Amino acid sequence: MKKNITSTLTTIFALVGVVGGCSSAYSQESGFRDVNGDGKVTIATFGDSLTFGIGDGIPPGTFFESLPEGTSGPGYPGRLSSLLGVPVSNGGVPGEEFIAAGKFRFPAVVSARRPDYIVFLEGTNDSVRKVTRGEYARDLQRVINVARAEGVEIVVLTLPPTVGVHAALAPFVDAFSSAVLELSSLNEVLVGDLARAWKSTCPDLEECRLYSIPEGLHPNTLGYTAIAQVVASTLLGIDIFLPNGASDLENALGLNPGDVVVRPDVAAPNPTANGEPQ
Amino acid sequence: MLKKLGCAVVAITFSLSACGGGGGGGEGGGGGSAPRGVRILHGAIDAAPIDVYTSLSPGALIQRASFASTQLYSLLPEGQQTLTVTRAKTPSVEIRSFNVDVQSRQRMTLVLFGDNQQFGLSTRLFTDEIPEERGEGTLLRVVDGMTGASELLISIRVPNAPRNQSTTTRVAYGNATPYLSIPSGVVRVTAQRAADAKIVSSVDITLDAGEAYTLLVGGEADYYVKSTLYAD
Repeated sequence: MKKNITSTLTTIFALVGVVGGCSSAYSQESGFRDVNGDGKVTIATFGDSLTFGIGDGIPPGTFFESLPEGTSGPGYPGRLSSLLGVPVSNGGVPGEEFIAAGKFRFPAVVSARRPDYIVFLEGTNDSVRKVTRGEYARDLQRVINVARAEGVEIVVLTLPPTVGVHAALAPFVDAFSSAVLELSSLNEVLVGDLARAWKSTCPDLEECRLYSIPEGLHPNTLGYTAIAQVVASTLLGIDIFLPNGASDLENALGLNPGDVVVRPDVAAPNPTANGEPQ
Repeated sequence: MLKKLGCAVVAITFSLSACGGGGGGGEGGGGGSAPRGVRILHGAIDAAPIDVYTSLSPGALIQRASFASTQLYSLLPEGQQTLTVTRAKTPSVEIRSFNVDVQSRQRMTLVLFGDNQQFGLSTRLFTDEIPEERGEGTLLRVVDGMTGASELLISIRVPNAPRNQSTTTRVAYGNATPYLSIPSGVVRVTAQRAADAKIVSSVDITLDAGEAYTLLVGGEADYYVKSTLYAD
């Protein structure tokens, strides 16, 4: 019941935003808010090619071992901006390694953008260098500290699992994702679990329609939509993995039924004989 | 000098990135009302939030003290006890413990500094003994919790005042200056790395007459430095 009320309130705020001409989904009820109190909500994104949007524009089911040159689009930042109705800057640098470069770029991005939120997705390129989980976690904590010290809410994302041509990177990518989950809990910061979204949506990752197969690293058009939906649900406080998570997000954002591509992985409660959840 | 017990004190945080950027901000926190207690100054750039436990009571005394965050003092029980600093939410990951004998009106500041990469995490426990005499001005001490310099040159002056009208001192890594008597109002505190005189932090802070403050310079030179002001 409470969930329904929350969902309804969120929907109302979304609709009010649209009717009022600002088409913004933020509200106190959802927790998505004007963090720095400057009268508007802005989001910055930070990362590598997965933030930049490499592979965007490639439709699902397309066979590529490596992506064609120049294949890119608005990526998840552009989609997120459309979904939430707020400015979202694209801070993706293709090929950037987090340990060697990204962590040094981060403070300047936060300082220059002064966003309410910064969404962090980086580390896949570090897996090529066999960076350890400990090294990754140490520097992830570093950027969390910088964001918080600057009064910016950070949203950390786990990494989509790598398969196909890039399957050898999977142990590192998975280890980085586990570090993201651990530090998000320790620091009580928002987390968007892309690894979980990939697995819940694609029972067989080797056949996953969220990225080009067998390239198996960069999201395709559908994959970037999935990332944007996971981030939006995180910011709006909607658990997209619950049985009604997709419909809650669709209601909150005024989407059509079936628009959310991320699938739930939490089974609906089984009713007992008297109709009460077990 | 009487402390303004029972009133919330605003602590203002300021920052200046080592690469030349700058800025400031404010948030709540500060001295607080506990007559005897402990607070955390977290200046370690890559360290997770920390919890503090006392052997005299169950549960965490301080929870999730994070980098550059401002805090009130947390009330300590009187008597002999062990204070244990752990990583937040993971009591098994102990960083350091201190045996202390807490008197009726004793306040302490626990500083976390260093890093997990090059220097190691360190802690230092200061007893906050504020001099009684502070005249018309205010008292300020500076804690060096920043990696990347063995010593800082600290300069304190009214903004736009001639340089020869500044109060200067030095503070070594992991240490604190004595409380310095300075004018109240807005003052500019500049920290330079002693080795090369590079400015690592320059902040304007507002200090009330008759009060005492601590300024933590935390973070890492040439990466990100945050100066955070605490009301004592």
